[in-house]
Amino acid sequence: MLCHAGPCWARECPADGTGNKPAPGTVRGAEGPQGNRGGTGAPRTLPHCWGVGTGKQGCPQGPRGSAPVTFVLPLAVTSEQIEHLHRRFKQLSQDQLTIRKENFDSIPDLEFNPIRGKIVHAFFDKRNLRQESDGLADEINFEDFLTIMSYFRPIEMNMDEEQLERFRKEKLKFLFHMYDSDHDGKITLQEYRNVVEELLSGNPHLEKESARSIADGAMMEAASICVGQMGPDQVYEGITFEDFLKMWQGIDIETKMHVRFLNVDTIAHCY
Amino acid sequence: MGAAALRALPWALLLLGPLLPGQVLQANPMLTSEGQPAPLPGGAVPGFTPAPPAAPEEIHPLKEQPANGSGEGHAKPRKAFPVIGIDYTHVRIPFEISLWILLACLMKLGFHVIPSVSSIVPESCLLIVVGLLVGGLIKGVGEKPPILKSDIFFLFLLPPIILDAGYFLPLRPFTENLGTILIFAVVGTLWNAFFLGGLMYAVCQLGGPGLNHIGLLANLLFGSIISAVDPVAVLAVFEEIHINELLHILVFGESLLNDAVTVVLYHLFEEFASFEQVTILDIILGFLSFFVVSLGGVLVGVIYGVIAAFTSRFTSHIRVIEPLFVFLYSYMAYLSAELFHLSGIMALIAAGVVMRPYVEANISHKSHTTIKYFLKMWSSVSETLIFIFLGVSTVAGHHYWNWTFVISTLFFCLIARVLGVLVLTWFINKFRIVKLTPKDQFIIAYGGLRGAIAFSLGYLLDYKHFGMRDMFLTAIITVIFFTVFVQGMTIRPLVDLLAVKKKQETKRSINEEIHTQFLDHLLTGIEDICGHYGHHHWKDKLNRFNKKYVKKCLIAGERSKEPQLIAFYHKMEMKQAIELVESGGIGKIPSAVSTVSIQNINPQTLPLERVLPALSKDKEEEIRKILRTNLQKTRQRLRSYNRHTLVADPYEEAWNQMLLRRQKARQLEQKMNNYLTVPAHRVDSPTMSRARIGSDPLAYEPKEDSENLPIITIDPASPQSPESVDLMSEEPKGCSGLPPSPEEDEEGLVMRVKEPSSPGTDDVFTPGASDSPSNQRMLRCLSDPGPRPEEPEEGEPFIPKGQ
Repeated sequence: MLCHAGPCWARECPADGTGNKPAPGTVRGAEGPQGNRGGTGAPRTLPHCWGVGTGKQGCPQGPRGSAPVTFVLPLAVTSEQIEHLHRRFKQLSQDQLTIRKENFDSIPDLEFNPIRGKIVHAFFDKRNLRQESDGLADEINFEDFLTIMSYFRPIEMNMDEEQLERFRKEKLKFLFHMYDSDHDGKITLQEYRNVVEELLSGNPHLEKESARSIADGAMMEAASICVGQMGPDQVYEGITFEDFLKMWQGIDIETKMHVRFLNVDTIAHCY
Repeated sequence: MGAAALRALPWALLLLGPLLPGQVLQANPMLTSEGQPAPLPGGAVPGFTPAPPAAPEEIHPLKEQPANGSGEGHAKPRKAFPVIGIDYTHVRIPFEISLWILLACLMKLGFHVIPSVSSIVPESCLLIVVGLLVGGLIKGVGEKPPILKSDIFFLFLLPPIILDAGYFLPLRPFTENLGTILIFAVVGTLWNAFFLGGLMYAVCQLGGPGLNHIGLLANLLFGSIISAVDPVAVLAVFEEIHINELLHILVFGESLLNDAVTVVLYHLFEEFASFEQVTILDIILGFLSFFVVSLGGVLVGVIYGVIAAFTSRFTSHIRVIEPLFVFLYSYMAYLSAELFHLSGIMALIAAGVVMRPYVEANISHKSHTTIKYFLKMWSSVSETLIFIFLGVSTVAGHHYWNWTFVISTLFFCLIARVLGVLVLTWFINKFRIVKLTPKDQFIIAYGGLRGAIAFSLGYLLDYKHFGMRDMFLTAIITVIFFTVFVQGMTIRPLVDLLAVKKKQETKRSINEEIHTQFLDHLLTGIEDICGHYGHHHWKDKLNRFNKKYVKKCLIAGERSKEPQLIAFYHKMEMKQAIELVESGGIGKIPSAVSTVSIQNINPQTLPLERVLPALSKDKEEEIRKILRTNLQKTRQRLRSYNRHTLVADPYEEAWNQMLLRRQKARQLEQKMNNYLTVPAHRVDSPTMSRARIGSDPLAYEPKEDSENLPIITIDPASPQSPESVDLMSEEPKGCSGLPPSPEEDEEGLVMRVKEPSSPGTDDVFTPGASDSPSNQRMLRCLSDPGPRPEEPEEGEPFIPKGQ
């Protein structure tokens, strides 16, 4: 693993280590593992770095223990989990440095997922990877993979209100990007229809008609929630992120959107 | 309530005079005549208005008498023919039962009439107080108050409450927290039972002469009885404080699932108490029996649930008895489980949970409402009775008050609960993703209310083996009263004080449903990508299995293929349609409804607007006439009444029709766009046209008629659509010239809405449209001008299926 892990991280490290990529780094850094860096609220520009660390004693060694690779963990992910994810990553990429879209085809269970396309898409969506850029990446490396996974980390006990709000927004942003397929910052009716159609695509004997009417109804509901009264000539162009936040108010996204795997935090974090 | 239990009720009622003013008069003659039927002179009964159960006899004495008294009447020397007689023993049991239930309901009613009381004191406390008062009064006049019999409690009073809880169990939070709930229910209850039992044994050993004889087993039995959190008490209190979903399901789920533990421990220790010696083997068997009892109960429930679902597949012809199947199968599940000493509560919950999704897909909307109401009604009556009887039994039972025993029981109960919750949460939090905060832990510990199940189990104890039963019962009642009164009353202020998150009252919206499903699939996908088979992965597998096989077997017809989202959407639409109708139908849309409509969100995809050539006046008149006569026909047909089938459900059928219609209308819409070449001289508002298209195949009729067909409001694509309003305001020119037809005025509200979309409408339009030549002409002129190579197709939407 080291053979390619080293270069990979070394490459990433200087690039975004010093706030070149502040947004993801800060956000995640501040909510780092159990907030135990004294980071209480103040966004800290932690180096978003997976690089060769300063191998402290007692810290778990890198995968396969072959090198003193210590991870600075802006995510609430333990090295054990990273190891697992890395193994999985290699399995998916067939021992390449990066994953391409086609690699996801090899996951048999994903085949039945109605929103499969959207999920795979999200991995290559640059908005999810690097905040300032846009468009689609052709391939992602392990760090990107982890970045995506980090959206699915669970809530932590000692988050204060502010952190919680940011945490929530971050997750919703990810979802919003999945809905907003043309990257214009709005979920238009057409995009919403596509989502519903995809959701219902598991049923072969279903006409698009019902999907359409559901999406229309939902959109109308969204419009009435977000805008309220509208004149006949007013046009609701689509759901903006603010509207999106409003619509999700009733659902505790922060407690729902997580994957259990990312929460085996039994080992002390290293830093 | 058995006869014995209710013997003294009339006395109570007599004394309760001020509370139940209407009843005193009735109770009086009853008392004088109890036992021996004494003929009363007819003139003595003018003010006599018996309660319902007795009514038939008293009101029709002449009819009743020959049948009733013929046997003795001939044997005795001839007396004057008794014009009216009283035979109280004949009706006593149902009469007294009814009176008790009536009392319970009136009490409940009373609490809600005085809102200030019920906002401070939970209803359960008030009911117990009423029970105490009633019991005291009965005792005061020298009668023996009834006691809450264990059989009655377990066979009649408990099942409705549990079924209500199981059938409407919020499945999602329940399954998501199942691990936590199970740990609390099983480990927590075991811990409580043994901790308490052990400590009480120690107390008994030290406690002096009165307690020395109580052995370890008896103490453990006592511990197992008193350690279980009671679902009835928890429900009663937690429903009032509106706590957040997580805490509610944790405490409530625990109270439901600990039944298996309680049942096993109870039987185990009861058996052991009669043994000479308890061997290791016995203990192992007892441990095994826990799995048998709990899993067996679930299995029984699942079996009955599946049978119920399967039965409901075929009930579409006799809708009236549909709800009964749900109740009967559930009750059978409970009884069958009890038959084998399995956990009846688990069986009921499993049955309710399993049958619900399938039954709901099969039965009619009305039946669903019926089920809902019946369950709620039964459970609330049961709950009321349970609390009242708890109070009455307290007065009635023998008590043996031992300060040491009672106080230490209470103390250790609280200690055990707190310790158990703290330790278990510490452990659980290692695995939970959403950790339980100290506040949560406090509420969970504090919400551990004990209730009537403990009392009934204590009451079941055999005097032969447990001479100290009275003392146990006294201690149990003390603990129940303490938890229900002190904890139940203070929990609400504490919840406010600690600012524990409350339940969010949100109406389930279609957006939420879409997002939730999206999230589910997303998480499943991410788990798959991680290669980690977690919660979502298995849930997805189960769902797919369910969709593929189970639904096909258990759900009739098309609905088995209906995905959840669509089903949900239909439900929502129907609810909105009904609300709309109930709120006053067309023209009276509540002004609060926002004016967002489809044109606001979708301006570019509007159908091309064409305006039809206007019809001549006499043609309009003709159409009107046809419509009117046929509508009348429909109405008559719908009014016909059949004892065995409910009158056709207008909403449901209208609904199905509407769906079909909408599809057809859409097809038509497209064709029309191709055919109609007449240039638009007045561009209609898009809302208008959509509304018309969406609602009726006669969409391309002249406007006057669309004005007459108010279904437009139920355009399902726009849940809160105020289209009718638009319609009214946008279209003054079209219809202003015509006075509303008299037909419209005399139609009822429901009919208005129903007519156009009910199946009857098809019968209405088609004969007219296809038979009369003038209508043929009309058809043509509607779809004309333009080349018409596909005329038959064109006309198709106007000739609906099944003619």
